[in-house]
Amino acid sequence: MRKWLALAFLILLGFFLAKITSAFPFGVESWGVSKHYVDKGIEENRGSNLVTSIVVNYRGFDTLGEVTVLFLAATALAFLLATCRCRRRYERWEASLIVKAASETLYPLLILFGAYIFIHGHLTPGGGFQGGTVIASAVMLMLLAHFTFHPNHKALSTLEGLAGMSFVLIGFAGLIWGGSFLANNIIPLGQWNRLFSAGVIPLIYVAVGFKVGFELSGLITDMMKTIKEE
Amino acid sequence: MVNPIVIIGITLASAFFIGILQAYAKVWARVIFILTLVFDLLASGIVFYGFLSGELARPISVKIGGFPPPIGINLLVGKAEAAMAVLIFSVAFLGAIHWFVKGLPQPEGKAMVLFLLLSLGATGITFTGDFFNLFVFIEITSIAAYGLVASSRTKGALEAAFKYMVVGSISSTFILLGVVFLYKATGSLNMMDIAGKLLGGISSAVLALITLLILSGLLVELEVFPINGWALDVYQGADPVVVALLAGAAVKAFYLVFLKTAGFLPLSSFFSLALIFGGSTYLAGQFFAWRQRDVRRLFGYSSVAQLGLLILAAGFFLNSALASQSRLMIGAAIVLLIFNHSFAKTSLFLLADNVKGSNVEDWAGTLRGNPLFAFSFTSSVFSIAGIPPMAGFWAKVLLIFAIPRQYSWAVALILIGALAEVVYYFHLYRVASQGEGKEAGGNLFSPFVSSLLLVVSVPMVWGIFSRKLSIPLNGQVLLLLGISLGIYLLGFSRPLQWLGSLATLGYGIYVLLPHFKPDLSGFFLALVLFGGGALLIATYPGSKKLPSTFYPAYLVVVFSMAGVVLSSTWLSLFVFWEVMTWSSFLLINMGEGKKAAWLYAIFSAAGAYAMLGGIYLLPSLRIGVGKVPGLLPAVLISLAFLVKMATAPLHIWARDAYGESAHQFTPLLSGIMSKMGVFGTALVVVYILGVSSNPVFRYFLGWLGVLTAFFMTLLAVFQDDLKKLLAYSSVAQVGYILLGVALGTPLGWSASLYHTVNHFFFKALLFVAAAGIIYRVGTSYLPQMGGLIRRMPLTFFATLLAIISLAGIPPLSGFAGKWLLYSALIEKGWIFITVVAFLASTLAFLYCFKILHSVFLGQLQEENFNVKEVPLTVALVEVLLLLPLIILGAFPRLLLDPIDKVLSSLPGLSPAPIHYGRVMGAVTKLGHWNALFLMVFFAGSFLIALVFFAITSARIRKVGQLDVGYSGEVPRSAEDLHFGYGLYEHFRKAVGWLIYPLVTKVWKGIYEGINALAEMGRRIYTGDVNTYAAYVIALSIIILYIFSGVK
Amino acid sequence: MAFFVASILLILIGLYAVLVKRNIMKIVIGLSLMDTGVNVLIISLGFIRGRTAPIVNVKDLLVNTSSKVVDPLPQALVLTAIVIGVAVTAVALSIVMLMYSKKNTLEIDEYKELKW
Repeated sequence: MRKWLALAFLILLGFFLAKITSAFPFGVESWGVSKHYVDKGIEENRGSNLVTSIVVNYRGFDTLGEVTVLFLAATALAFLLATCRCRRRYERWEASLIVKAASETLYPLLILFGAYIFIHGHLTPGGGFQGGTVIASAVMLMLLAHFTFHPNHKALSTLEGLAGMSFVLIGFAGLIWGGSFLANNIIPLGQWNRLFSAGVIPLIYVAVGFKVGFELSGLITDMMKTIKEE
Repeated sequence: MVNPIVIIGITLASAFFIGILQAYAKVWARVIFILTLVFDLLASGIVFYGFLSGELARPISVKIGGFPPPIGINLLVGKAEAAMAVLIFSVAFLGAIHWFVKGLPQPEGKAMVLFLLLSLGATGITFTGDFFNLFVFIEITSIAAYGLVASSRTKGALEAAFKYMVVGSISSTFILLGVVFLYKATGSLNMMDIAGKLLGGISSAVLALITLLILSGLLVELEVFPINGWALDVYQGADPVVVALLAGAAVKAFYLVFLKTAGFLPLSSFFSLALIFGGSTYLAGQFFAWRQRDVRRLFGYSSVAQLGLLILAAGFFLNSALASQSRLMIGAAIVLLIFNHSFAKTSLFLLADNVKGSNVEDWAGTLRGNPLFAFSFTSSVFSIAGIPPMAGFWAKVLLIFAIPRQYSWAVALILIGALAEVVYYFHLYRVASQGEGKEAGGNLFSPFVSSLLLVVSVPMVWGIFSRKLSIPLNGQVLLLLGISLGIYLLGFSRPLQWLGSLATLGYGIYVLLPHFKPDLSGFFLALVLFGGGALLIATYPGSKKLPSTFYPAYLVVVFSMAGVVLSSTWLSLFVFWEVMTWSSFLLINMGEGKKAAWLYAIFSAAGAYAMLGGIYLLPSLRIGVGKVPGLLPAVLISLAFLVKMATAPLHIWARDAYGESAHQFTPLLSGIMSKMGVFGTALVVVYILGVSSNPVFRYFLGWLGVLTAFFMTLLAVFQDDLKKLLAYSSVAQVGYILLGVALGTPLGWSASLYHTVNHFFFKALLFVAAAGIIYRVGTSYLPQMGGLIRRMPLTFFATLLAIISLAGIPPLSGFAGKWLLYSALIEKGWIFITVVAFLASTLAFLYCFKILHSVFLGQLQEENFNVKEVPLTVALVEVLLLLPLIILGAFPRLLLDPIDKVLSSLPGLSPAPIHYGRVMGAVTKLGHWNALFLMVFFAGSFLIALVFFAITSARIRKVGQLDVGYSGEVPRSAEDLHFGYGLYEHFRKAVGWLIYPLVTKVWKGIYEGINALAEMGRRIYTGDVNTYAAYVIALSIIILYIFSGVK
Repeated sequence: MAFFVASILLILIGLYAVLVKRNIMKIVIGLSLMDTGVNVLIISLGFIRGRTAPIVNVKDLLVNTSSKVVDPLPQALVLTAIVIGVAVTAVALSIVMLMYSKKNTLEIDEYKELKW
């Protein structure tokens, strides 16, 4: 009964969603405000990756919010689990030597790769979030493989906070010297398609990269560490 | 001028900074936390002030990222947004202080970050000018809220957080989908840009669906019925500080966004959507709260209801078909409602945090334990229930009068909900104010400050909005009301308060002197002020046992009655009427009655809201002769007055309210306040019904009056409690007065007005004497008295004369009133009514005798051997009230002449056809009597009898009370032997069926019936998260189907 | 077109889990699925047939860009939406962990204390 009712609801909802979606033919050109981003993006920001230009500059405020959301999630998680007497239901086995050795080898490489991604966020696909996630995956790998791996939690959260603050500070710098919050005209924009180009975009993305990397690492650590062994 | 982006930036930076600091220096983290909130409060205050002072005329648009909208994101901050930010940060600040005193949840650094980001999110929601950015801030708010709701980590908190999370995720999915579709449909994400593109209204079906998708997401956050189960669970389960921040600030931000969204995406069906969902949420919330025993959940239901009212108001506010003046008024009402509800709920939830235990019963006595607690609770409850002078009252009035006539059902709905609100809030109030004083927790700073804000805002709100509605409130009366409240400051010494009150009343008489004119207002004004003043004298020694709020409340009752009679518009009459009702509520609540004040509050509120509805239907607010369509306004308005007169079947509050109110207040309640009902009915008959038109309705009123007189007399006969007996008697007498007014003839009115004054003299005298007796004897149970004539000869004499006057026996003043009334009845030809009236008068002798005998005659009980005569002040007032009974008895013309002047000032009436042919005789068509002759004759007989008794009394043998012996039985107690015990028992066997409590049972049945419905209704909140989610989906389907116009 | 259908189906499947499943973890998974569905839908709304990614790293793309690349804005939005989804899931999971630690069960029937 419950299932059928749910199905009926969902079919109706699906009908309405389909109704709305069908108004926008798939794969057909329809530009809105983003035509400006595409046509003027290079001129205004010099970043090859237009998505990055939007994420960090045109809609940089969203990204600040996004960083905040992530920070918030990490804080909430750490806050809630701090006093948790959470217990593991099953015994945990130590990883095999192969896994351990491989993870140790991959760990620095993954971090380097993550850094590469966010440093080149304005030029190639990817950026701060993606790079940060790769870094966090390196930490996660180590945590899974080694019982003895303990990232310095205090340092993680400090660096994460500093990264977040530098994002806000860059925003304020824009407000003071560039006329508006997060304005991208306080340092030279440079040449198109070069590493040192696109003004503050790479700076912000590096900050985001650090922040996301430390944040997610901290988050995973928190989750794993609060679980007590039986 | 502060750039709004700075508020957001600084808050974010310090949130990150606290994240670092907490690991190193906990104290500094706290300092930064508080400093940030203070900064935010100040900064948003400066922005708001910029708008208020006119420095900023139009909403400011702050571009972010260096590109103008719609290319970049912008903040859009106008007056409303700035005000909302101030509200958010005030509530956050108060909550934070409360949190610090109470102890932060651990780890505290992270808790502070969440708290800061929750207020930041709410501000961002308010400020942003971009739909997708709005979604981001909604998520910030929600995630912070999920974490904080779970912060106390109790089972309830976790459960609530989980449900909130599931439902909130669905809601934000809807919003996100809607926003993205909106981008596809309009090519923009900027609110102003999109609004510009949709200026003419939404015509395409797809855009309508998209708008509805966003709106239904927002409606989840706005806790609309029936998808608000999660919110109630959160209110019940989470830390009250968090709840205060959510209910007081975050939800209001969502509401503002809802308003903005609906404004920017102008959907033609929005009006009906808002009315349907607002109205149903409002009613559901108000009624489901009735059976709620958990106080926080009760507050939750109330919050939900308030949001419903706001949504309803939003519908009218955004309806461009309405006149702009009405929309401005509704806008003002919305501002007031938000302000009022935010601070009141903050205060209430934080107070709830101070009470141990979660049930209503756990609040018992909390108001007696701590004056700060009592102040915060009372002002918050008054605010939410919309009782003057609090802002909530003006909000409701503004809202109602702005609604156009064709939506009068919405007005009815608002009033019914408001009545339901009174029922449960004052039930809580009753519980909290009674019982043993109990010390609640002492963390009262924040609740106190927020309720102080509510109180401090009153003069400003009162001033501005009385002008907006153009209701001239009598300034002198307002001043006097203000001074009356000041009497509270003398609370350290009761005699000083008494003297201060007397002085204030004297000053009041002096100030209002020009208004003592020979018209209806002047007539009643004299009764109110002189009567109130005289009765005030008698309050003194008895008031020592009463709270220090007694005198302020007493004076407020008196002066608000002056306000009522001096009103020139119906609305101003209503305002003072409400002030009178609620201040008298406080006084009744000071007595011993368990439910008396509550019942009084419900009936009074029902009457008052009916009156407001009636006033709403009147074509003109001015009190004057005008053309009134239909009978409905008259019926509704008279309901309030009939309640105050306790006319059957609206009388069931009266017995306990009179009987168990503070004894020092009862004389005023019975002697004067019930006459306000007479005044009001007189106004209705003269100005709305017309004295000579609507005979059927007046005949009906006449029957109501006479049946009240009959049945109340009968009830009085079987009553064993002195004050309750007097209560029934009082109600019965007012029934006669109503009868006279209903007659609509000069003679009838003459009788009524005469009886109004006379009833004041003798009934006030009886209640004053009763208060004195109870003060001495300590009980009002008749069989425990008796024989007091030897201890209180003066009081006996006073009571005797009062009773003679009451019974309408010559030679005292009562006779003239009765005689005139019967003359008027016969003249009019209402024969059946006359018969019943005669019967009732005869029955009245039975209880008259009972009072006299049970209290004063018979044997003195042992406990009462040391009783003294009533206190000097009481004795003085007894004498003061006694004299008019005799004087008027001999010279009724002293009163009848002014009444003639009053009658000739009223449209449709003329002086009564009474001739005073000989010096002291009064002649009507039906006969004549010579008052002075009767007086001399009866007084002489009385004296002769007295002398005879004095001579023969020496031969009477006095025995102890238990000195009896019958059939070898040993009397159990003195009470059984009392003459008044079981008096009229045989009579009860014969006619007892007549006083079967049918009316009480019917009212109780209605109450129970609504309760049962409410109980059934609230079962839809099953507590099951699947079900809650299903409601959300089902409702959104319904919204998408009905309001899009897409089939 | 298939993308639209698939993404709406994903949303509905996620919702189905939320409406029907009695296990808290499954409800959280349902929410996650729903998020993914929304993300796919957003991305496919920005797709334009025959265009390349909006990364102007070759000279050819510099001129007349808007006729050569897909709409970058939905991609930017989806980036934000993904992060938010992750954040919600993380908080949800921590709440679930706490709930489990209190009652040692994930059955939703055990979490119906607050009602009416």
